[in-house]
Amino acid sequence: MTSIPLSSSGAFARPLPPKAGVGLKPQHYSEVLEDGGDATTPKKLPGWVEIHPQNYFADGGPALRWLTAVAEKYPISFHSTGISLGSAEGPDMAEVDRLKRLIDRVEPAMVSDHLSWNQTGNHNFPDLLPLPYDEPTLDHFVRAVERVQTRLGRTMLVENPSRYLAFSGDTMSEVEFLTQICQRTGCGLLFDINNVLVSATNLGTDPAEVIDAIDPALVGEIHLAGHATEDHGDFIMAIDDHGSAVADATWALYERFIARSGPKPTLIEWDTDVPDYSVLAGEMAKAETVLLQHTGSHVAAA
Amino acid sequence: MSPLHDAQAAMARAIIEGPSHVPADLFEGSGKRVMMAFASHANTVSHARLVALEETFPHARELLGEERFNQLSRTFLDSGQGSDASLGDIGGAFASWLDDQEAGDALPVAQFEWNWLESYRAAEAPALTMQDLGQLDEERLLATVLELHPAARRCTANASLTDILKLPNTDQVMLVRPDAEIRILALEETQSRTFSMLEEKSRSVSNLFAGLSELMDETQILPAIIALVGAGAVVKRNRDHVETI
Repeated sequence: MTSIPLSSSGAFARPLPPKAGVGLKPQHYSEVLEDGGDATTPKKLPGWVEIHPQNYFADGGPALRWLTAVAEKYPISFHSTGISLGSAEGPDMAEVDRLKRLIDRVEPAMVSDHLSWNQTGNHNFPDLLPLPYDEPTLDHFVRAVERVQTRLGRTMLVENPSRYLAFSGDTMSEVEFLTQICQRTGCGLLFDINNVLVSATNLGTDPAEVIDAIDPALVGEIHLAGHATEDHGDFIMAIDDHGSAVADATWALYERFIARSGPKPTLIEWDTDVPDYSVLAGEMAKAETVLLQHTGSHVAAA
Repeated sequence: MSPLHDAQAAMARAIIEGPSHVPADLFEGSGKRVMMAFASHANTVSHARLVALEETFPHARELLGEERFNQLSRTFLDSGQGSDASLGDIGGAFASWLDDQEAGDALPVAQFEWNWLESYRAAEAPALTMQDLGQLDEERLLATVLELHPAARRCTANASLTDILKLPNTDQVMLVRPDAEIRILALEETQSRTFSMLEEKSRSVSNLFAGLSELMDETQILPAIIALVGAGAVVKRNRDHVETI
């Protein structure tokens, strides 16, 4: 099994620590750039931060200045949503070039995108759409990751998706598909544990089986988020909306994985109805508790 | 066409035209489950685009009222406009499209808001200052080539916009970002004409004077240039510039 390379570009000057981080929102810039409070009112600061690089695609201006200031204080992970790695037409290389310019400027510790697609023909969907898990799609996706990594001059992480449906032509499991991608391209896995639960709820599978089947050596980063559920009478549909606290069942799956893997950089993702920073800090503290429980019992792979 | 391409084209059609367009054998599960899954994807796409428009045009939305803004946004999206744009760029297509709609007083406000975002994202550049110009002798001053700062924008204004911006009534406003933040100024007609000439192309000071002398009284030229330079709307172009008249 291939371990994730730390870097092929030297840009991992400050790797992501195996601590809790937060998805950075503009309304929290000031709070993460301030000191950590005082002895009586300590403030939980993130161990690292993640941003969506598409929000900072600009030639200049205040947003880039904020990002630069944050990058001076924290290791940063770039979580892209726009490359469309799985498009039948191939990845959006113009988007990759924009990403490369920002990478050159900020030198993030990690760069990731999704096992999904969002562009076809003249359509650019702001969503992460599913791919069939079969050999031709695997070959196609591997070529896309290789192409993007070559253009970026570094390895990346690919995130497991949340799925609402399984393709009738699927010939392999998601774990098998992701593992093959990592082994054939040298990329790593951004393991979203909420997505595991969402997919399992929607597809009627056992999330613990996925948690236990993932090779920890492939995992460069973990995502934790909340999701919504809709009761449709004869089935429950889980919606990956990132709009609430991490569910208890997700915490249990996270602890199960960390017990096996040891501490990993863990992100609290909250993208809709974003709460006060203190709420995110509380979620980070919960993740830190899990990470601390398993520190020292494993060789940290971060 | 590969099977993957066919599948993605079918899924795109289902998101745009409705889940009844999903091929029956593409997914596992009941028809109801497939319908609900595609309804969820379609909702995610639509919601993200609507939120992007709301966040790009907060003042136009307030002026139009939520219901009218929502109606215009949905008409824009349902007509397929902006479907190839990212969320960060969809507002540009919307502002252009509004030109042909009955947006009333909100049209200049929306176009201002898009220009504001363009200015916010524009490249950094050291703005020319009066101090820079004051250090030049006459010959070098006249040969200095000027162009607009990358963040400089000009918009048509109306009473609604000047109310929002708390500016005196004016027909034109200018956005500049010589430093950290965007500044917004009312433009007088002579300043607006000067802006136009620099928007058209880079010009030496002597060429700018010559051009402006055909448009305004000579006593108005220097104050107009000084106003733009003082606001931070102008940069000095490098000497490799070859001027064409």
